[in-house]
Amino acid sequence: MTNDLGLEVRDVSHKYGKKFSVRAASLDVSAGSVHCLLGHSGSGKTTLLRIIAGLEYALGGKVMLGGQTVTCEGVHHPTEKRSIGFVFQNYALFPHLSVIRNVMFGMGRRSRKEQRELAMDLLRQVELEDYARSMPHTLSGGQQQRVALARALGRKPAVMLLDEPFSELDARLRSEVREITLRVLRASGTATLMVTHDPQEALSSGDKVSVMHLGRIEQTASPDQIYHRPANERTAQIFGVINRISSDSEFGKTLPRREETGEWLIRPEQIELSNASGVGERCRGVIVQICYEGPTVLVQSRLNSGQLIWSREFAPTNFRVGESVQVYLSVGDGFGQASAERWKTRA
Amino acid sequence: MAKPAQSLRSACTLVLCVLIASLVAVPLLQILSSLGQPSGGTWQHLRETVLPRYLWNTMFLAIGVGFSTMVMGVGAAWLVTRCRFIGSWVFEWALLLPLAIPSYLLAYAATDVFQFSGPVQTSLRELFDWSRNDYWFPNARSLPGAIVILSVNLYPYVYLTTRAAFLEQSSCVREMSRTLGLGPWKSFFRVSLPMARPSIFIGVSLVVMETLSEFGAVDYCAVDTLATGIYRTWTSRGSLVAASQLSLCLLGAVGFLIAFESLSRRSLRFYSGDASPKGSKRIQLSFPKGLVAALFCGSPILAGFLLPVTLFAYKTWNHGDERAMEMLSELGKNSLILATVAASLTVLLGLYLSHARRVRPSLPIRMASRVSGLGYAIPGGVIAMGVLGAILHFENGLNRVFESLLSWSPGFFFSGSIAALIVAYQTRFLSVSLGVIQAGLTRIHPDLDSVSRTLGKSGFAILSKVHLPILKRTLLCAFMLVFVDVLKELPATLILRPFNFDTLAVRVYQLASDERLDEASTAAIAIIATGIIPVILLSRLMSRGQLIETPFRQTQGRRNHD
Repeated sequence: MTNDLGLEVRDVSHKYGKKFSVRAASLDVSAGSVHCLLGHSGSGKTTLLRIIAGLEYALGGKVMLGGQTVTCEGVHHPTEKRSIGFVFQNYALFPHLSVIRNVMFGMGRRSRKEQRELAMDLLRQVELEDYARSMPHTLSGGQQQRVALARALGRKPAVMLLDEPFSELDARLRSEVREITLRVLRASGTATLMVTHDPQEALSSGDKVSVMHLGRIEQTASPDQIYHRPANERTAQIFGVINRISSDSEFGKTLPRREETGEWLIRPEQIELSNASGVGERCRGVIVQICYEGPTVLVQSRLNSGQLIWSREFAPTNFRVGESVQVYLSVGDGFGQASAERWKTRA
Repeated sequence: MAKPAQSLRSACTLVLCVLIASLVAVPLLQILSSLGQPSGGTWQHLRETVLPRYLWNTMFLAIGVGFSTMVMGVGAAWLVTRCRFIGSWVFEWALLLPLAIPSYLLAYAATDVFQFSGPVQTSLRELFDWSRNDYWFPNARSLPGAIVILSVNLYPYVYLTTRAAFLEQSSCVREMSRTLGLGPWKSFFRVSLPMARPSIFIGVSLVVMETLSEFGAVDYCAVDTLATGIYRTWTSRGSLVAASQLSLCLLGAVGFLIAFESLSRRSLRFYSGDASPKGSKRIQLSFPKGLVAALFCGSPILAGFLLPVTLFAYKTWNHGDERAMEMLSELGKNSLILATVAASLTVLLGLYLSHARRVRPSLPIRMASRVSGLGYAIPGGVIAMGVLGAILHFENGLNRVFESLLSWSPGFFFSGSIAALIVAYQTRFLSVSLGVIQAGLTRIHPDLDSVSRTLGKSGFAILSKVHLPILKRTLLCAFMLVFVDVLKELPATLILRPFNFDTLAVRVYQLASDERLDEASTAAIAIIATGIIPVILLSRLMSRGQLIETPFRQTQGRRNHD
């Protein structure tokens, strides 16, 4: 068994009643890397996670953990025999056991002393060694999450499965806990599959990202690729608002190369606004809405033709609602064309 | 992909579950088998003469008791969980005390106090100088009397389940309803009450089942119901078949109730109540309002507990059963041993069955646990007949086999033994422990099972390392409920006990049915004294809000406060 083999999922399907919840999903996660599975609620991502864990039965397909086939035609290793760690959304800590007992729970076949040492080592890694004797309900959400992680690592699993592990934490805590979690996971050398519905989280945590929609994996790629070269409109839209521009509309006509008819999908940050009148292919419009996002603002303008266009500006912005502006594609020569080309939807 | 073949272990589980269910199913089948048998015209006769009255009385009794226990139980539960008034902290646990009093004892006491020669009517006559025909006084030995007696005796079941539900309700939801402009009253009727509805249903259906199978008190009040009819048909007409056929009517009603309850339990499937109830504020009632509230909570305790206890204590003190005093240790020991063994066994079986159902919820196992829940509603006497019949069948068969093989037979070793009595108690009370344990289990989030499996534990390890420690208090609660029930049980004990084996309940019944209530009071007070300890323990557990486990409330308590 080579070290690289982490998790392999091939053509796995699953049904709840008559409805497909997972359709022929395939993905690979190599050891030591983090793979994010991104999708809206109901997209089947948690079901896929549960199939890998053996908590659900697959209709067909194959799952391999660390080179060992655990699910395929006629084979279904029970969950307890699989080399996995699972962190649940609600952490599922045992309320009747102290923190260290929770972490020791899965470490069978070792002496008590070894178990305790290993558990303390894991707690040290997640920076909770002072809480070993505490009961779970006395801990905060972020601490509980880290206990759940340490507990899942206690069996030294080949594959770590995380189900929305940070969704119950507030924003400040989330980045802190995420940083510790990813550091520990990468150091442990397990293949990590993390389910999330937060696109920012997926992009910032994953070595690779898969986008799932209605049970199907739409695209698997690196964060950079999946953001800039989405396979389709649905995948593009999951990362936030997007301008959908018909090539024969007023704004569409300003875009370079319009031989084909069709639609362009353009992210707000590729659109620029200017209140100085300029030359070139521009459209006039009026700002109707400004939304603050933090470091950036999202500005919606109505063109003279009535079309609405989103653009993104750095904060603080000087634009005001009601102001008349010029709207144009921000990218320079070449990039603009190429990028516009890329955004072409695959009809 | 096909599910893996059923392993040997799951086959064993199935066999054990079916065996447990057959504890209830075999006596039931014994009764059902009477359906096709000729009853020698007795059934025809019953149908033309007394059956309509039986049905009518039973229905009235069930509806009356169900409704009044609902009002009393829900009202008291809401008052003690949401309001602060004179003595509210005492009422919180004292409201459970009537559980320790067997209904027949309450009936004896009520009749004794309110009859023509009783202290109440006597002092009224002396006070106003009335004679017999000058006034009207309600008769305790009547249908309304029976309704009042049973209501006062049984409302703790509704109180128990409803109070737990109110404690579970997140204060957020209530506060939300207040911000939406509902006052405390409207918020109670439109939010708290609908949310607690499943628990109220469970409590009321328990009460109705108890009422349907009630024998002692109803018999003493001279109300003809199906349960007393069954007993009478069997004892006076000697027709076991007709008695069994009457039991079938009762079973129909019970089946309906159980379907109803399982429906309401289905909608109970939520796992967490987030906010801690301790933090929620209670409404301080003004003095007059508080007085009304104290009266509302106090009167059922007065009638259901203080009245019989005072009466029996007084009678024991003045003219107690001299023989009973010396028999007391013997009788008490018998009662205690029976109750302890029977209750431990029901808890064990209930735990096994509900765990199997949770881990492997296959259709046969679900059916087994459903069947095991049926026994509670069958009158004790009917169960005794069913168990006796089944055991005799078994012994006859066994004897025949031994006879033909060894020309020696073991004889009737099982019937008339304490073991037979224990089996009958399982048949009758398994549903109590099963219900409590299942309710406790539904409150353990399924993710805890899943996470245990991802940590390499399965089946028995999950039970012993996760469920059992979390359910400790729930199990204690189930044990005590069954313990008290066995202590009070009368008809099955009367029929199945071995010769020269008396319990406290049997002694009371024998004396009271001879109208020797003064002497009966000694054993009565002993039953109450034994039963009161677990009931008080139960109240203490409950007043700490720990009756029903909510592990996730604990783990969610302080989220997002790093």
